[in-house]
Amino acid sequence: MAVPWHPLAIALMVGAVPAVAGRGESVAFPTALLAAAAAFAIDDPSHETLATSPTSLLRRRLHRLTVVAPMTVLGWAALVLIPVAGGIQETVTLVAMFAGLFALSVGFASTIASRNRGRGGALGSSALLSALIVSSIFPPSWRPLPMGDVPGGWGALQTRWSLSAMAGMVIFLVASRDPAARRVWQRP
Amino acid sequence: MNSSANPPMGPVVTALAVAEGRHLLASRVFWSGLAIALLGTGVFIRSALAEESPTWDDDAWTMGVSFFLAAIFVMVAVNRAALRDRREHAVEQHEALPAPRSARVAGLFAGALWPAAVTSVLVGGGVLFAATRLDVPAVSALFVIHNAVLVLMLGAVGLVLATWMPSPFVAPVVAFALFLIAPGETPAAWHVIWPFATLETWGLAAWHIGYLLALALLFAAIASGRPDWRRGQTIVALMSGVAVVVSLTVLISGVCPPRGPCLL
Repeated sequence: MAVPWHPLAIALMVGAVPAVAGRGESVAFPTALLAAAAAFAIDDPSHETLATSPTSLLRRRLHRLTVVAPMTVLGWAALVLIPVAGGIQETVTLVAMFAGLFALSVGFASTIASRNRGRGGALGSSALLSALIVSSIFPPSWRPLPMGDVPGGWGALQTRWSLSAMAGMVIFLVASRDPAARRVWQRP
Repeated sequence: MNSSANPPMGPVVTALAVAEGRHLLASRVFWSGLAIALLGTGVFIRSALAEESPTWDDDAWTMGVSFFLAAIFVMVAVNRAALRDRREHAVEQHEALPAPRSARVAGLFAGALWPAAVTSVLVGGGVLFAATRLDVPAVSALFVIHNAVLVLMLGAVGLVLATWMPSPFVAPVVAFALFLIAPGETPAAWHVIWPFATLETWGLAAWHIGYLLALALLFAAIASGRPDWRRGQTIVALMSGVAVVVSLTVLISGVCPPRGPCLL
């Protein structure tokens, strides 16, 4: 299984810059970068060759994520969670934010990869950036992907990021349905 | 060596610029940026039409920022176009073409003029609309040129990244950095380094446009200089480097006068 590791390495190196430069409070940049790097886990150079294998598309993608996700989570914990998190509420919020960005990134990449010969990393990470930009246009009380404070405090942040994580997972599952699999209603 | 081995560069670069420009305009990444630009412009137009006393300073920033963000997407689109050979495993085939790599880079750099033209026409339309409803400062007319040069400069950044760091993730990293990292709330003289800085006087705004143009040429020369540096590229790089230093010196020394606020 050829998994591209260089996006994760780049994200770890560049994401560490704010902490090294003395701006340790910067949470959004390393979190978004590591989530965007995870999109490249979906890139499968052998997508067309393996399309006819008995292993379904969903299972193949889950295998790839199982390899990449632990390293991504460890890297994020080292860069963001351990240095920044203070109390339980802040920790839960940070975890929800990372989960939301990670799920959306993987979901976008899966959708694009299904229509782009198995390659969705570059466009998936761009789609994540687009989503963050569009979210920032909304006023804070309506912002779906808040990268800063919003009315409602920790609870609102946790709710919105948890919903984003669920939305990302749904997108990933829908985009990873194997095109060769028969639909439920077609099965004998 | 006969003439077929060294075809004239001009027609090749022009043909490549036309083809690459069309591809850039049709790319999904460019359209994502354009959608954000139109969204920001729509928010501004709605404010200008619906609010009782809209002002340029309070309401037009949504349009300005959205076109800055669109320029970031052009950088990603140019980077993807420059990495096409590598993505499709066609580097070796294209190395066998009679046009040198520097001609292909120059063609792609010139191709970035197409998105620059399209976004500038839209910015111009937005400024003209604003002029019919609001009191628009005269210096805002330079914003149209600033936008075109900014798109060209960020396109050159996409090129140089694709040449020297050929990974599809590097351009998104730079895009995230440009979006999420800001120089700070309190204006300072060094903020003029930031490509999105807008200046309040004609002279300084013109110098900032010159600074961005020099940066664009510098990045294009660096991008076309791999794998082999030629004399022409060295001259362009040196001259544009000098222009960057001179324009930055003028901007930094003039943007925060001893008396009064910074003109940012």
